[in-house]
Amino acid sequence: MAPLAQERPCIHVSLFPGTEAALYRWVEIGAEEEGVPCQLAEEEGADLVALAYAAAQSSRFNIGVGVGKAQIVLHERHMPSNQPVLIFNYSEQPDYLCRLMGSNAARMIVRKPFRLADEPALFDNGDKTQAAVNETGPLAASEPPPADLTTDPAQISKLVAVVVRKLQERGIR
Amino acid sequence: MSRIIAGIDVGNSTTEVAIAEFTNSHTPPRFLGSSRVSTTGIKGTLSNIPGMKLALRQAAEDARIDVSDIDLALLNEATPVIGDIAMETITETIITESTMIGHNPGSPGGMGIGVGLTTHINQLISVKRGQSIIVVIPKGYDFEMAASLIKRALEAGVEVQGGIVQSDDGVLIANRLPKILPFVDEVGLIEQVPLNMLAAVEVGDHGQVIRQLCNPYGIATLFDLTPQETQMVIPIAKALIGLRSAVVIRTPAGDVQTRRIPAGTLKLIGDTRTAVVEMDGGADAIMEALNQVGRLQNVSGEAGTNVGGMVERVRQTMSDVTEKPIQEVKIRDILAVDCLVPQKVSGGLAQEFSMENAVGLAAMVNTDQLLMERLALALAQEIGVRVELGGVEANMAILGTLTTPGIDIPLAIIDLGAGSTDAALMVKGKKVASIHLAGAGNMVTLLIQRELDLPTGTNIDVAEQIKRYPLAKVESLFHIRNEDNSVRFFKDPLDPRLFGRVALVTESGLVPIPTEHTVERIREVRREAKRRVFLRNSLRALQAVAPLGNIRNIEFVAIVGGSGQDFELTQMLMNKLAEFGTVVGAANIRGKLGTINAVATGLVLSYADRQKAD
Repeated sequence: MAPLAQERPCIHVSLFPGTEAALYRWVEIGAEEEGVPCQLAEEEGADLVALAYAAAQSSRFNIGVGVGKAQIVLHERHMPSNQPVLIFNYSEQPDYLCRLMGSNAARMIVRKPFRLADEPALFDNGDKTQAAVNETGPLAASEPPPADLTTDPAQISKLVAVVVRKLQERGIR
Repeated sequence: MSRIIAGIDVGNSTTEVAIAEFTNSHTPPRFLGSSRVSTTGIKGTLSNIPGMKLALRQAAEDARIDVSDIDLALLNEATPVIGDIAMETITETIITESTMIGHNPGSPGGMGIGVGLTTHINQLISVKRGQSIIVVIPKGYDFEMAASLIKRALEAGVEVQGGIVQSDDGVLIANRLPKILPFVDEVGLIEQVPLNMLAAVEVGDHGQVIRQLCNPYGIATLFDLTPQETQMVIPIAKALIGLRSAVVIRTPAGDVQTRRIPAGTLKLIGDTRTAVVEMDGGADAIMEALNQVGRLQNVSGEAGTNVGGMVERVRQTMSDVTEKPIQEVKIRDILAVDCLVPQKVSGGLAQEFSMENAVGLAAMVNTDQLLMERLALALAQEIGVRVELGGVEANMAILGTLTTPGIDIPLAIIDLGAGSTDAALMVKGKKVASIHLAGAGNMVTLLIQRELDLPTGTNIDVAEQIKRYPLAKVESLFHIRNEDNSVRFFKDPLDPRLFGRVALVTESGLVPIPTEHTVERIREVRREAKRRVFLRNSLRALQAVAPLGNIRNIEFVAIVGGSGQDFELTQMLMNKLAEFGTVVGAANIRGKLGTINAVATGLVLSYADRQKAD
């Protein structure tokens, strides 16, 4: 990597060997929408997490993204090397998830909450699943654990409806 | 012979129990255990029984005895009051034709202001040279295609002035154009944007808000409006204040108006006189009138108006609970609070909100002793233990409070509960003076919920949590900034789902708040709600019981009740009451329970007096 390029702080994105180069562009677009520059960095790592970690180490923003064939990983310099910030598994739409991860990498820098792939309605007002973000807190008391979120959202809404009714019956409105 | 006595205090929100052992009438009782659980159902109804049983069981466990070991259970007498709360907006903004989009997408594209005819992106080719247009881009067009189409139109001499985008692509499109143009993105209902209408798009500079479209004269300048028309756009301008991007579309029949719902009048019937107040006058006018009518006997709202509906609803709930005919339900106190609540603008395209005036009302009705007697009877049957009604709640609270180390009479207490704020004054040789006022913890929760527009129903407890815990902003995966600006670092990284969010600092860790409000705003709303309900009510209550109605005549005040545990409320009260030279402190029942369990403890202690009387 050219030393000049290192002068400018940006998100470092590394491709795992054998990954489609087009995915990088989606990461870049995601970051661009948030107004943060990013660049392709050639790093080496035994696995995708290690690759993302290496990218984070070389980034002046301390933020690295590792793009693989089945996953994309966001890492930060101060995190334990084996504990990345976020991992998205491509079930379908790898381009969408790469763009989302690019925007999350940028959001780390502009300090906005992440957009999570499994909670598409996260920013809709009135979204009940948000309460389940906290696993141990009192908010989660009436909610099933987050693991269920991805499996059956219909059931969640049913439960929520029951809770609402209960609360209303108790005169809390 | 030793006897085991339980005191049960059913409150609006919690049911508390204290259990003690009396060996003889000369030595003070030995307290064995206590408990606190949520009240089931509305206070005073038979649905309280499960909560009472649970509380008894927990207290018995705490005391290492069986519920059946209890010789006598004392219930607070005729819990004299039930409170209810309601809120109604008195203004509303309605757009009859879709004429504006004002919202705060995370990242609008470009900057500046553009005016032109709204044109669908697939119509760009047929636009005449020199024509000013605003391009409308639905989701199907990806940003590269959109950008290249716009670029081509610009090269052909079409004056593209800005755009409205459905997906989150505003920045991407703006970045790919030869000149800087404003793009408003994330407009969900883009198919409802009328085409071939004059529209203005504005995006503020980074870190700034729009200036032209939130100014009625700014809109008038862009659209060449007459003074009459300018008057019509005031609600639009008002709804757009403080946003970073906005669109205003002029449709021929377009008409946005602030419709004032007839708020109606409130009739306060007191023992000395009757006053009629306009709701429009706001909460202060209502409370002022309340002061003048003497002891409140009843309240009625003007039929066919918002307030009429509100008062009737309170009455209906109370009538259902007490099983009294609706006309016999008398409202004995009200607390009115002004607030500004965000309301969805009806007819908006991007879920616009407009801040509307609202009045919150807490009302209280007296119940009769029958209810509690019925409850005592039912409980006795359920648990197989004798249940009797204890003394008057206020006296019991004072009796319990007196177990606080360092406290003696003359003493006033303020009981900050969930449904009502009560005060009582005990002076040697005089009867205990007491008062119950409408509005307490639940009202604070309602205000927080409405002012921050937290989703109703399921998330009412979010507001409750905000009331209870201090805030922090998660600034990185390793540190948070508390609401007092101090910073706390963590050794292990935080949950990424907390990142960038405002969270509550609770005993069980950080809990993210599902809202986009800033820490400062939430804190302000929270403190203001407490000030408007608890401070106001505490002063009202103390004034009512103070000798000669002057708070200065009260030297010592102890705070009890569930809301007394609040992390900032006692300090706020102390600050306020220091003005009157009054010493205020939070009680510490039995030297260890803090502000809770006062009535339950008092009930147990009253048993000693009962024995003497026997």
